[in-house]
Amino acid sequence: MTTTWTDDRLDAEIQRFLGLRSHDVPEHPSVAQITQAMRADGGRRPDLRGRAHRVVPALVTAALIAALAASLVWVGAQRRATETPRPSVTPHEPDLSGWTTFDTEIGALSWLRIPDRVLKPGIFETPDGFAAFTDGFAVGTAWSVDGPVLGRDYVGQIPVTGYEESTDGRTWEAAAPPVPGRGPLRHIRVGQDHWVWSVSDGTAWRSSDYRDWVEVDLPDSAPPTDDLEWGLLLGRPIVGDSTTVIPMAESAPLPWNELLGVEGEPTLQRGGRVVIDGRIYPVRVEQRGSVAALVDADTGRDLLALDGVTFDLGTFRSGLQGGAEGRVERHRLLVVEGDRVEAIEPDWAPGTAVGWTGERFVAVRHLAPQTPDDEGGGSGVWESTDGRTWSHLGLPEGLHESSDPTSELLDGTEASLSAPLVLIRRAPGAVDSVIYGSDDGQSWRQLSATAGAVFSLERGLVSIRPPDISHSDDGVAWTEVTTRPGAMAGEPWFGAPPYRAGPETIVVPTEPGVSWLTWLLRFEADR
Amino acid sequence: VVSSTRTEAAATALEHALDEATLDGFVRQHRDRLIQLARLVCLDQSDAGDAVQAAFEQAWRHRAALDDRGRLRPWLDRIVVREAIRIDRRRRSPLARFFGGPREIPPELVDARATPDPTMTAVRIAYEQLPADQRAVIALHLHLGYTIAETATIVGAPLETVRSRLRHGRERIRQALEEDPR
Repeated sequence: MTTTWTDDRLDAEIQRFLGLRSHDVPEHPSVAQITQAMRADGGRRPDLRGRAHRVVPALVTAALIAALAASLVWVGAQRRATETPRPSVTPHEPDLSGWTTFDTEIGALSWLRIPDRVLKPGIFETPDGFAAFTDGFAVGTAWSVDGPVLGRDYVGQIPVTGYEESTDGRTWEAAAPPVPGRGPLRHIRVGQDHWVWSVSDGTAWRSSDYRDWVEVDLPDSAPPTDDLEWGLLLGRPIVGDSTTVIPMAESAPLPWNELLGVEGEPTLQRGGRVVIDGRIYPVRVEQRGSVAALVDADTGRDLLALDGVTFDLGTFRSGLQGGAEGRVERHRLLVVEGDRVEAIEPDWAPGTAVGWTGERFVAVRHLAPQTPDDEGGGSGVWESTDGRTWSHLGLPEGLHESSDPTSELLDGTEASLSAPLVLIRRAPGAVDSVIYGSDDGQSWRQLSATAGAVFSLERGLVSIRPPDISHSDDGVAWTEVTTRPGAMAGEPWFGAPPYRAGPETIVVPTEPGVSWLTWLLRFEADR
Repeated sequence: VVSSTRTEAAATALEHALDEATLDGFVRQHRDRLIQLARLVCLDQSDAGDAVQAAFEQAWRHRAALDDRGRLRPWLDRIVVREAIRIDRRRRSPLARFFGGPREIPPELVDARATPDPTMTAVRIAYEQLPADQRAVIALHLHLGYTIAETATIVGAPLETVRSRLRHGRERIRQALEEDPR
């Protein structure tokens, strides 16, 4: 049915919309910032947002200033060369031009402050320093820059290009990748080994020293149809006694325009709406046996139905994921034992947290029901001694249900915590963490909640939310780690979640595109 | 039309608004409205902040040029709207798009789940697809209550141009609403 919109009614709806959009006001720039700049008679506030179109002129200005400063330095040096040498003065603030080590309550902590845009995204430690595969998808935040898809894709993957190495973390040089992989490459640490794999063709290599590489015989990872742009991602490895398990996801975006049979690019709107030729359809995805359908939510009419048999999706556990922004996905678990690598399809669904208790693997999933009939919401606990054969133990108890599957199951035993298993739950892109502990994987108790990103290090759990760093031996009580003046304190932070670059090294990134400083924190082994 | 702009009690306050002593109060009085207006034009929270910052600085620098204190509010709105349109155009320039400057969209405007009202979603999609100068006249006329003539003065365009922008903007939104299969 078509509704007639009179001018008055139309204006009323537009006014209602404009009113809704004006209901809140951002904090920045604050009154103080504005008046400060005004009192400076037009002085600009610091450009913390760092947009490229502002950065380029800023860089030119900075280059001119740098040239002027260099000239002054040169002139000064010429003058000092003729003067009597003065005694050097110990600076009050620490020298942050390189690694600086502080003694803290939890041991030595080294800091490296790196100008933004120098540090590559997704860096990792190597025996010679650091490296980053910037050809593929790196940790970070990405936006839809323009067009009708006004979405902020915070899932954390940014398309970038290249491979670079650095000995000190501050200066980077482009280099040839260490393996002959094609297309985007990514890296993970599997125990003491480095693994590098090609996202697009599934080839992989491993090395214990980052010099000599051996190809890993990964199980077949071919796409279900040649039309799909297939990609392989490996998750955080969980190292057991003699076996390591690695969650593996293969996925591809659905070629909507081909599948929907429309000319041009259909516009997908986040949140379950699709715009085809200017017409808006509220949609939902239904799974009916082997058929995954994109359904007009109002009329119930199928806009698109993918037959799992036709599309060879029948063997794929997940079918369509992610609502209107659909992907074809397959989730498996790599089981690594020495040189032998095999892939299994566990009973538990993707997004399940896997951990090692010291005796066995445990998989925990705790999702809220999606529908009234969806009892348990796909929650469950599974265990395995060899990583291959999994037993369903039942439902987890004591875990608050979550609407997102992002959890990390840490090894509490290794971290000398009070619970053998520690579950860290963090919403995608968020930093706040909720920490749960369990003895058996089934009964859980919330140990604490912290405003930082939590990492399990040799010295226990560390929570990082710049400028605050907290430490916990038991996951319950947190103690703020005192750092020396001039470290991170006072630095504004708009950052993406910190991530691990090495066993004891954490990267605290800035928001991509923000001209600010990124921090590398290395928690030294000696205590 | 929501409200009239000339009835603000600003006239008396303005006698002291643009001096050093009452600067904080002056900024506080206008900041929120200006940010909201700029955001309606350039759709970006951060850019809106930049536009407002720049507008206040311009206002401060050129405060001596404001001879009619009763016109302070439209004067500020004019500076902000023009600045927001300029920023929006700059952001859409080939250079900016080449460098891929991130565009921050407030979450409540991004996620349709946060605005489950299908009418509002349709209006939002259509409004965001309008050119910035059409958004500006819609925001000034329909949200802030300026007359067509006042809007024309603020955006610095002929009366007919403003009417045309308003008509085109309305039609785009009307079309989106009529095609919305509710």
